[in-house]
Amino acid sequence: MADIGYLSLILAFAISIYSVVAFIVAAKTDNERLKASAKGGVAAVCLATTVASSILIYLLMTSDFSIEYVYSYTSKNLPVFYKLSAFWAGNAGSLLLWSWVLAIYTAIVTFSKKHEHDEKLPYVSTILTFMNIFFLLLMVFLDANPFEKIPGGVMPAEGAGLNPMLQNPGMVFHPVTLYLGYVGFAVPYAFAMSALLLKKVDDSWIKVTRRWTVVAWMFLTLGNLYGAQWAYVELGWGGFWAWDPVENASFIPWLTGTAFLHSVMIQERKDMLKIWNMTLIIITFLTTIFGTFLVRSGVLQSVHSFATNQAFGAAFLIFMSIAALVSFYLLIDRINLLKQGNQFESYLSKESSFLINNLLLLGAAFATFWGTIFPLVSEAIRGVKVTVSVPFFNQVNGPILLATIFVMGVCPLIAWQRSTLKNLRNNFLWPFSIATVTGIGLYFYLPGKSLYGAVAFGVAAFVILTILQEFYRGTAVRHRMTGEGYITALGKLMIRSRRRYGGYTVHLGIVLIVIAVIGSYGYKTEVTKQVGVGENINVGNYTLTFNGLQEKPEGENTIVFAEMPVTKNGKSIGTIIPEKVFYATWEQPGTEVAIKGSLTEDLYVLLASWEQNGKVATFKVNVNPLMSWMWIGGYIMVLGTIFAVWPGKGSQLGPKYTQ
Amino acid sequence: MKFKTLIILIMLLLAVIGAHPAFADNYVIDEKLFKEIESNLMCTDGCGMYLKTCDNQTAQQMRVEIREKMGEGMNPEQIYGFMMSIYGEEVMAAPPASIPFNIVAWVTPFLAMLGGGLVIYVALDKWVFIKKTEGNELDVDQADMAEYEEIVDEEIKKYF
Repeated sequence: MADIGYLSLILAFAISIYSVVAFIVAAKTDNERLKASAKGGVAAVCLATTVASSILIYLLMTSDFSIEYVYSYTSKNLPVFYKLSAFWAGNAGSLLLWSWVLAIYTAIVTFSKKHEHDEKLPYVSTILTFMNIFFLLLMVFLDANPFEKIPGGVMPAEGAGLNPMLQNPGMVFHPVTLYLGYVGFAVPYAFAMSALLLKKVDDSWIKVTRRWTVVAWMFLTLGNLYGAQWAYVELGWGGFWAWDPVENASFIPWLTGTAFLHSVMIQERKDMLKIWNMTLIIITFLTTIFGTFLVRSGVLQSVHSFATNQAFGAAFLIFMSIAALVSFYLLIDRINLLKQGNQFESYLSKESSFLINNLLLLGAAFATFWGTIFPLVSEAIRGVKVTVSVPFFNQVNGPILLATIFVMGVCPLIAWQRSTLKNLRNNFLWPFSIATVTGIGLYFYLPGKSLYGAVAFGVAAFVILTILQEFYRGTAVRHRMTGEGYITALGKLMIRSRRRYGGYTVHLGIVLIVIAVIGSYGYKTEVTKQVGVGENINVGNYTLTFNGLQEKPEGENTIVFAEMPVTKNGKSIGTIIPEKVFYATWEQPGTEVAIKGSLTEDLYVLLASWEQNGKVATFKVNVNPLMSWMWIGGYIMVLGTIFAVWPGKGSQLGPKYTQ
Repeated sequence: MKFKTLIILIMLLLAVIGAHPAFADNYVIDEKLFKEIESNLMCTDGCGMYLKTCDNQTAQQMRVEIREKMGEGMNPEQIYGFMMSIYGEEVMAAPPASIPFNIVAWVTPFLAMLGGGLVIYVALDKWVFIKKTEGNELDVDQADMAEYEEIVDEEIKKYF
């Protein structure tokens, strides 16, 4: 079975090469039959990678430990759910997942009725298939074959097992959604490059790829969100984002992708920023590859890294360099074709506010990139290793991101084309006044008297108010003109202008996440305490009682846990059960954090260690304010995105302003 | 008089004993300051984790060292210096700005943004063709309302 899997990869590799050559020749000679054959090649690559992936899943499910990959990442007692997630737990499997997703995306684009008569299509398919050649090459020739057999041909009785930290539902969703996002950005990039190759650089490539871009962005958002959730519930340090190099590598394309999503609106409406939009999609694509490079090259220390060799790093570096060189060469070579259309009517307009938005998003992306690579810069220049971690990113990115959020609130108040200070002042008055009062009130009300926290909450309040004001104004106009009830008017307004109100909904989700970040970073209470049986731990309004440790088997694993009654303000709110899991197939025990969550705060309890046969134990207890809003905000963002891109009437762009 | 002298001597003795590092554990450590120091350091065993978030043995040992040094009366800067003397600059969770080259790490993002801001300013100056917004201006409400009303008008034509 494994041989068929490997053969499928070799076939996919060979057919990909054929497809690329055939597409190029067909485009040059206008040979329709050859073009059809090349398209068939795309379908065959999709089929071959699907076969290879299905076989790997089968081998994982049946615990065929004669295959090194299956042996390394699974064991017989591993639940089916995690056997499936072992598909992408290692380097070889994750490359296969990347290649599979890319092959599926390529087939969808190639066979889409929408693109049937698009002259860019052969070029798009060529670029996407060329990318896949690289990933298939790594698997076939560069020590990343997921079907490699155990040397000696002896099948071990048991597998090494999956790292306990990866045994979390987050492990199933986080990498998949992240990959769907990463690979998704390859599609608009391929269309942009095709437009440059064909010297047809109008905004058609933006229009046809808008949904791809938004959906890729949505998956990247979800991927980061699931990653944060996984870190929060599994890693046991009470946080959700550690500015690890690989986390940064997924945040950078999210930032540049967000800038791109906003910037293309100016090209759609004003026929401007063509060069900038091309640059943004190139950067976004390159940074998605940068993420995979970091995970596999070992150039930077990261908790996410796969155990790989230098050859992988070199291969990714070469691929990235070629992509960068070719992309920027094409851009510079065609720069005369990218002439701007209209001009801006005013300094004070939505267009110019989008430029500020782009500056801030790109500034945050650059700061994140710079902080991530600075250890390499320092080592290369001074020969001294330094670390760039949480304090740097919080201090540098914190103000930039807060300014970005503020601009997010200002944008809806500024009209397209031209606005005036007077009207802007009128629109600002109420949201700004209420937000200022909120900020000042919170400064005095909340513990710690944090100025930064109060300003941040004030900014968040301002953005929420401007968004609500936008919904209200639109609803009021509709109500006045049609006589519909307010709720009906609101519903119809949103449906008839999904792109606009979907966007505002996404903004609302972002603000809720920001509120959770401010609350949990700035107002967290942390206590680490050693207690004996019968003793209490007091944290904030909570009191936890330690009644000793207990032990229970769960499959082949042993679980040590503490069942702790909890009271809040003297009233019982049930029990909380932090655990340590001792795995049969893993040396290090795993930690299961116990969380009692509500809309206002999470009680987060970790069993750190114990002594005297469990009579004395150490617990880490946090009260993390507003954490639930991070997940609620995330899902609101996703819902807003789906609402905005849902096909049909109402999903189109608003009126195009021209001179 | 003798009794007073005895009391003073005992107090002095206690102060000297208390100041000795061996008794440092008996000191009440400023937990807020401890957390602040902890949050500026990395765990040094190669796990790549921020000290505040790491629970392995090396991290625990580092915490003991920090507490000891705090007990000895060291201030945060002295503790960072002590840590760097043992583990190197890498132990700091952010490049210490006391080393001139590291200032590059801190200022470059803001310089880049400043450069970007200047580019936007120059571009806007070139692109904006109505320099004066006063007088011949479009009301923001009118502009936005026009957009809403366009949608509503379209629907009215269709459904009413």
